[in-house]
Amino acid sequence: MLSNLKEISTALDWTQKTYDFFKPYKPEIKKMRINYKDQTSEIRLLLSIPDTIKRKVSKIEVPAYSNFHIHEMMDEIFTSLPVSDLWRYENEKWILNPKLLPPSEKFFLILRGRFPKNIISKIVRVQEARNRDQSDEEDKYWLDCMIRDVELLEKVWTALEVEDVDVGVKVGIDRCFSSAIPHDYRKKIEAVQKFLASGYERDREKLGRAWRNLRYAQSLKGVSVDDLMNLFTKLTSGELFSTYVYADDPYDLGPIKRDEKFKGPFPEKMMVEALTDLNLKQNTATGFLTFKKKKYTDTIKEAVEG
Amino acid sequence: MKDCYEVELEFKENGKKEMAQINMITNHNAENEKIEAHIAPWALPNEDIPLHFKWEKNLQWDEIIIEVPTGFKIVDFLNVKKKSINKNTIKISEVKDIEAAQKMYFGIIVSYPKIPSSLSHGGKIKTTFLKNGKNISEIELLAKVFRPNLEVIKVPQKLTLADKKSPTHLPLQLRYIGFGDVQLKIEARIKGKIVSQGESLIYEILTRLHESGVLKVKEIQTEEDTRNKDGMWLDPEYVKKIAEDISQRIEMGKILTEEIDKDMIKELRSWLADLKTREKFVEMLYGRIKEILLSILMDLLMSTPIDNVKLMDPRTRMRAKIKVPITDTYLKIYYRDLMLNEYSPVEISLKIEDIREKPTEVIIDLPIIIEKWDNKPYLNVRNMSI
Repeated sequence: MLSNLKEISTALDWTQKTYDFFKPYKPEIKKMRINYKDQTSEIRLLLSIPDTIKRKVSKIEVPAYSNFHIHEMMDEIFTSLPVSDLWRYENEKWILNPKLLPPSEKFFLILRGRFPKNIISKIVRVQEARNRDQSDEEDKYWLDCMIRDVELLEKVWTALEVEDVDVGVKVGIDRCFSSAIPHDYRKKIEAVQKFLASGYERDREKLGRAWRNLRYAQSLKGVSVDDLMNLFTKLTSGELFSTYVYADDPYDLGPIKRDEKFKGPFPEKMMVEALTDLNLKQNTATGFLTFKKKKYTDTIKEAVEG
Repeated sequence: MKDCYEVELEFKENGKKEMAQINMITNHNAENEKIEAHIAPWALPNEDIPLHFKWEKNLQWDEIIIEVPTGFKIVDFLNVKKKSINKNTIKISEVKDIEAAQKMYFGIIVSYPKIPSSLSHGGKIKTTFLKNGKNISEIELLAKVFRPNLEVIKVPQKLTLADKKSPTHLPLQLRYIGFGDVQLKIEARIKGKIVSQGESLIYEILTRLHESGVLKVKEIQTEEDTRNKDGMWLDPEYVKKIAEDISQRIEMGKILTEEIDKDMIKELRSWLADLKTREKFVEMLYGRIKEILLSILMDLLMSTPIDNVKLMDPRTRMRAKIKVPITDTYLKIYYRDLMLNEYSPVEISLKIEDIREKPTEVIIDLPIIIEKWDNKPYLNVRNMSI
């Protein structure tokens, strides 16, 4: 446990150092979070920078410990302030000119640093079902997240919360396309393939045969490669696909994308992220991610059949 | 008397409620109301199965005994401070706790580290909370492990080569039952030697290109505006990879179709060796996007014949020299699940008989085609009782 504690503390070192650095400004820690998905750690500080200080101090300089950056800054009525105008980065330090600050006694500052995934894994355990549970209508995947050690969490920081614990589930859709494309459609595809091939042929007989085959196939409905590709693109857009998946509490759906590992034109899997937060109050999170498979397949069928 | 707990899990859609048994059977006991227990509702062999217990802080206990059923492996603990393990019995005397936490909890990970012979295998994990040596609560959680199984329904006992009629392919009919998506690979052997080959997508594309007459080196022309309109459909890296794969195949002489003759292959080889002309080749491929896309689509359709099966090589062919009147052939159908568990392959033996009048040495080239699938997957395993 001690080595884990050391690793985690080291990764969060910068938060303690910056906190100490802001001591003249009576810092209060409002929140401390680790974002599993982005692999970042974040602290929210409430600082006191009254007019008296603004007049006296020409600059507030904070060493950029562990390369943290300033994510956001707000005044006491939560108005967002332009971070890039107020803070500048010089010689590995963040520098603020207090005179540029608007009239406000207090300021919120959100600072973010990196937090490697292998260390986050010492704090939380994340798992999703390797294989779906099917029914005629839907596919389900179970999700299970737990905090490994509450005492470790506490030792690190009292107000710690691990945010956006991201369970990434790869929902396979190749079967949906495969089952949605009817058998006679495949014959059409073959006919088009032969036709395209014969298009370059000089053998008129072969060409004639291919043309007749194609015409027969088209008497049902034609295959336009353009249409097909447009269809696939539309059906694998994150936005459309998200209407076919849902997650149980305490999970929410995160962004949905095609599985980037596959570079081909027809993505075989969609990457669905289910997000939840783990903290000392919610130290476990279980639920299902559901894919409305039949509805999706029916949508493809309708689109293909026109 | 054991009562079954049924917990309502509220799903988001249309506020529909679904009753789901969470595989928890408990003794009717007031203390149980303070304890929540959860276990992952299904797993494949070798897959980690997480479970946890959570209870109100005012529950008085001094020991928790967990009995993990034989055959199951204890993989890990979460949030446990003091424990002792004796074979498959765990005794927990202290759980990590802090003031800020609302409830006490701990987790255990188990798994079933072998392939069960039956399609479903359950293990009851019995957990007892004790105070002063007395049972104050007993909870049973059911770990459910499932597996897939492939069977042969129909296969020819004999393939006959005759003067008037010869087989065009080797037909099989298979059945899928159980749970778990599988990847399948077919292998054929004669006298211990592998005589099957899976032709890849690249081969397919190459064949199509050849049929298009495009692989005629001297006439290679790149068309104007050969790239598709917004480059959306084919990642340029992907096209490059296709070109490279094709080049590699040609270089290694791995073109086994009789249609593309040896001289052309020689020509193509030397031509592709030159980077400049290779670039032209990539350009040419862009011009044949339609062929390529359709090939890829067909490949996808052929690879996924039914919901639960993916064929690693949808174009597996058997190629062998037949020298004697009767040849013993052995097929093995290998399959594995998403945990990469490998199951005992399906074994098929058949004979190839040559009854032609003047039999000479012949090379057979037969695609192995699964003509029919009987698909009987287990559905809703989370609600299945074992």
